[in-house]
Amino acid sequence: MTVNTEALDQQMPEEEIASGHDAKRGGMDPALLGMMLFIASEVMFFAALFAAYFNARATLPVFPPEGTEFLTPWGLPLIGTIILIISSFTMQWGTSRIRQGDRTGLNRAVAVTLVLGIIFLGIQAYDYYVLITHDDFGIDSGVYGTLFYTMTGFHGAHVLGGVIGLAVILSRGIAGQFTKQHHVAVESVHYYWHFVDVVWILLFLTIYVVK
Amino acid sequence: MGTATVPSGAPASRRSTIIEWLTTTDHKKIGVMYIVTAFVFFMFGGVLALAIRTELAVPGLQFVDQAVYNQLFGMHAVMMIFLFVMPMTTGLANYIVPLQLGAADMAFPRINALSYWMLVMGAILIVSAFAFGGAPTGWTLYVPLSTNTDFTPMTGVDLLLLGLVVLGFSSIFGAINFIVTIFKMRAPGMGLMRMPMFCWTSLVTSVLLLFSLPVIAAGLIMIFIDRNYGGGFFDPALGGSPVLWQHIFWFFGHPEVYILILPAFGVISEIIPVFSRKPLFGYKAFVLATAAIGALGFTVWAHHMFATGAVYLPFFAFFTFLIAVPTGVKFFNWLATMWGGHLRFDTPMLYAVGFIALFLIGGLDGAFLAVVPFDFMVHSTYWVVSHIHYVLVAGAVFAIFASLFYWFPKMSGRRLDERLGKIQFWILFIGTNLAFFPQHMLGLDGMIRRISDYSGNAGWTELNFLSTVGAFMIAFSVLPFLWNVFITLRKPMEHESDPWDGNSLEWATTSPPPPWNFDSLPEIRSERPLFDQKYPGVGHGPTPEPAPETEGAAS
Amino acid sequence: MVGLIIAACGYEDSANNTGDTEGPGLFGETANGLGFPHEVVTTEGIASAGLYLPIFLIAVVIFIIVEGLLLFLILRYRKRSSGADLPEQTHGNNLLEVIWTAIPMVTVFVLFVVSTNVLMNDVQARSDEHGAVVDVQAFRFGWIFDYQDPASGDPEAGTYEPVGITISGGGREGAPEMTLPVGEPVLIRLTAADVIHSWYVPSFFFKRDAIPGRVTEFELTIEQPGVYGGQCAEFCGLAHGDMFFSVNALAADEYDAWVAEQTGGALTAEANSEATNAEAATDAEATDESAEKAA
Repeated sequence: MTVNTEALDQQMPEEEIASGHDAKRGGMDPALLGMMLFIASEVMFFAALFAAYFNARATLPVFPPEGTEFLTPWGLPLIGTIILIISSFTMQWGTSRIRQGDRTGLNRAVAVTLVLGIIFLGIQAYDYYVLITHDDFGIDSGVYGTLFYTMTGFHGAHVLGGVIGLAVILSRGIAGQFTKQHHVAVESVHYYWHFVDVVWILLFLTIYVVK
Repeated sequence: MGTATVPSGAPASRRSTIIEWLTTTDHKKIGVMYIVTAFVFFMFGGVLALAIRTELAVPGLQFVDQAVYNQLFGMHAVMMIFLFVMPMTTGLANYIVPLQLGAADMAFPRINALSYWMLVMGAILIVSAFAFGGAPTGWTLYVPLSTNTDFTPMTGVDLLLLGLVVLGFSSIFGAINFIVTIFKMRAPGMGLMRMPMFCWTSLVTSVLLLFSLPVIAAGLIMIFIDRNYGGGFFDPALGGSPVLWQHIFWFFGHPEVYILILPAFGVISEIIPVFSRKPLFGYKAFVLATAAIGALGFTVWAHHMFATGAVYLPFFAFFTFLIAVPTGVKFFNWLATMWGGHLRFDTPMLYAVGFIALFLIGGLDGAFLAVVPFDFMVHSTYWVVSHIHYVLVAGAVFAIFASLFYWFPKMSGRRLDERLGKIQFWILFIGTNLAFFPQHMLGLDGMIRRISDYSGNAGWTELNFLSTVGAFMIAFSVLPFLWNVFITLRKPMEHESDPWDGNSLEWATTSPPPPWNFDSLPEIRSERPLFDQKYPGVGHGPTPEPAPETEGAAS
Repeated sequence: MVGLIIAACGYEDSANNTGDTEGPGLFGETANGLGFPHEVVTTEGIASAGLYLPIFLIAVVIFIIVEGLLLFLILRYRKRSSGADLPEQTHGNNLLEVIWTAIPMVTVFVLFVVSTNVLMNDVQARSDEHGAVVDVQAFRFGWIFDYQDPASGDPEAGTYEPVGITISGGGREGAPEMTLPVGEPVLIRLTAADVIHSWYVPSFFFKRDAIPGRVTEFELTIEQPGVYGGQCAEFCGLAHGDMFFSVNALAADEYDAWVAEQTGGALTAEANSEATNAEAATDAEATDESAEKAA
């Protein structure tokens, strides 16, 4: 099979190998292009939420408003961040393995990523529990509470979506459906997972660090 | 008409069952479902408009009370925008774009079907709002009116919010589908600069959808949270900002109006060349202008907010003026296409010319609104209502009827009746002007929007009455159209592949096309591949061999 | 023919006024219903309205050119025979396209500069001294006008001292009236109590949105005495269409006399505002009742 070097992204010719058949006139696999466009739309979704945050931050005389305080990053949020960043590395590792044709390596890496993702969700859920019961900080705690829960909540929903995607490629991987030439689903999910991680890093920096 | 190489005659197929329609992933069937659904809501939204205009015909509350009226205008807008124009243009694009590209289907046929059924779901949610108190907020859902459940306690608002979110995602998936299809599934030889203009406008429209819809989805969810979970996004008492909603809404809302009109521009750009028998004048400039409108569309949103005193006026006024340029340029391209042509005035062309004649008025209205001090006077008055309806009725609706008459033969194998088409056109043309021209005066005179009644002393009665007469004419014009469709579908199929002597690939297959669309494709050397094939030596096709047997085009 | 219809309707209308809407006739005096702006009576408004005619003329010229061309093309290039011959297949003309892009660009640029000039220099100009300062609060469904002492302004803090004149009212019957002096800039500080409203006086060629949680300021300089009708121009709920008010512009000395009369004796001022508040309450109820009755 000839590798078509007319790629959209010249630095990653492996993607052409990954897409295999039917990539018309070379370039990105259509499914992968579809995923990139979907990610672009999700970026806009979060952009609106970030805009709301920055708008409140910039225009309110006192931020956070009376009755609420800045959240601290130390503890659960930081642990969650580290776990998510590690999971991006494991996902990238898995993708590079299947690009070499190593199915076992892929499956292991995806399984680890999946577990890390679930742990992240668990940490988030527990963090919410503590905030709500212990600190009486809920979605109705002024605009700061609303922003916090909406932004991190929708991020968590996207992580859940990613976890489902990981579960799908794990089960397909175990069933032996991926090869060096055909694994566009892995490429798609891996981009989505990086997107989820980047959004979290931005959220973490904005809400917890830079404030 | 066409040459022997253009297939004709009945394709080998049988009528599809209901189950096949419900489970189809064929872009042509999905397109038809979109078109029919959209037309149903055109009529539903039109009935709401008639209710509004009946109430406003003379002073006094004779027909509905304020509570009902306040539901009507919002729902009218929601239906016309989200359940009529958008699904209609999506349906037409769904049917035609893969054909024009020479493709067998869309890139993601199953997601295509999902998009349609999400439309149905969203429509059900929105219509059900009527049963739960409606949504007396206007389609713009301004906060705090829509977030404060002391003022809008009805669940209808929540149903509208959820319905719109579902519709938003339906369109986002559709946009992804169109972009990938256009980039990945063009026939060999069809570079981007050889694509029909309708595909270009579909592409730019899809990009606009992709970037603007998620923003409003976020905003709608934010309203939902404020309404139902004590959220403080927009409540000043909790640190929120009502103006933030306007920014979020109009960041979507302005690209939305280009989403509504760009497909119309695309259709007009298909029809004028065919019915002038000349290529589109300035294809490249047209592509550039379309892209410019798309990009600039994201820079002007706050011109809807001039009267708030909360936005930087010169920036938005500047870009609002600027966006008039690529739009205006298109007019000259269309006129230059007609110049020196051989013009045929079948119904599609009547509508296209009517579009050019009347969209101009709506566009000029918009240029007035870019003048900030003038906007201070006419914002939220009937001047804006006039502008909106000139660009959407004289604009989008005319283009939609043009495309229905133009592509009906391809979809059904029969041409709609020309006489009925012309009768409909003239009633609609006169009705549109009668309904909306007087509204310029009303707005200049200070009549504001979203009121169910006005004083008999204001001197507005005559103009309102005229406007109502026009509205009924518009409604009446739908009847010849419905009759036309009814009698045409009862006729046997004529199976004309290329009834209009068209330029693009959809005419290079049977009418209706087989499920796989094409048995063979002409060679593609320009944006008019079929024209080139039919008129060798004139178009970009190869010059014919001087052999007596091979004749060129017949008429 | 249109004129005939209008004339006929005119006669009909006065007999046919079935509505309970014998409102304050706020627009009767100044409306002419013909499509050109009212007589505009503020300095800012006159400057704004002055933009209308030149832009209207440009629009008419563009309209005539485009429609004229269209008509010409339709008539001239109508296909007469059903011949198979094709017209010349012109693809474009770069020079022409540059010209018809450049001319509109220059036109809109000029319009932008001219209109921004008027906006910055005439409409949004601010004075240091004001003949009156009124804090306006819009609410569902009426207005509160709270007069401040213009001389008490503290530029640093941006505050004024109240003068003790508060006028409020709502609905059709209880539309409150804001009395203002003629010939001096007046500062309005506008906000809303509950939802977004909009303070709109067509004779001033001006409106500004009233937004809860936000105070927005603007200046007006009224040039002619008179009573000018106003109305809420942002949809705010059930009785949005009934949210009237008026502006009574008095010559400077008459205005001073009015202020003196309003503030002369604390009792009178309080009695005034109490009475108008009570009226507003009953008016709001009446509006709800009549809305229910009509349902």
